[in-house]
Amino acid sequence: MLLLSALLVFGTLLLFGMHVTSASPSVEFGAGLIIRGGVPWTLLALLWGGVGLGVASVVRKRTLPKLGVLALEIALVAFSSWYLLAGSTHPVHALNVDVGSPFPAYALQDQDEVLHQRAVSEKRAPALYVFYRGHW
Amino acid sequence: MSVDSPEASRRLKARIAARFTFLADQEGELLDELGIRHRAGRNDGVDIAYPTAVLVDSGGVIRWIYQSDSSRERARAEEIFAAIEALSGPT
Repeated sequence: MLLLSALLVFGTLLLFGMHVTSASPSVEFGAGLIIRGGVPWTLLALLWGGVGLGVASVVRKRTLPKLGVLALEIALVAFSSWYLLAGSTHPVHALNVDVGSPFPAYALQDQDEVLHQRAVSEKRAPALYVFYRGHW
Repeated sequence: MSVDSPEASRRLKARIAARFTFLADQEGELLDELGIRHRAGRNDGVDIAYPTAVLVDSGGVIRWIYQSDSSRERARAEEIFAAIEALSGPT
């Protein structure tokens, strides 16, 4: 049972790490797995399910190696859970604009270094501006 | 839009075959205007943007804003389309 537990915990973390690394090498974990799905509850359920199996195994027969593996599992899964749930929370901040405010003027280059400008209250087609953390 | 350089944005646009424009606000001037500068938000201490989406109408007025308190959550496609539909009015 401990083998199954270890496979579940370490295997899930390994596969998740490979998935994230291949999808986005940045520290943002920009993979669709998290961003589009919000909190990865399935991933957390697999990890804690693995820990549960480890606990059950140790309860049935307690040995030092088993306790060591279980302690390592708990430490890794606890850290992963903190990182996935709380580690991504922003500090509180207030916007300088609100719905109904004019969009600020800007003059910025695009990916081809072409300058794009917009004046305050300039009339043009509606636009969606999406601000990303970047670092790709 | 991000604080990434045009060059980094060009690489990303090619990699993901995006059809939209990538604007580079490397100094974060627009981020400050909007109040979405995340100081030292990157692991190496660089300022970045709080993930935000802003829909602007044809008169330059902000009609919809999306923000999350998580750096990993973005506006879902259905939320964006609903905001655009509301902007367009009943058809």
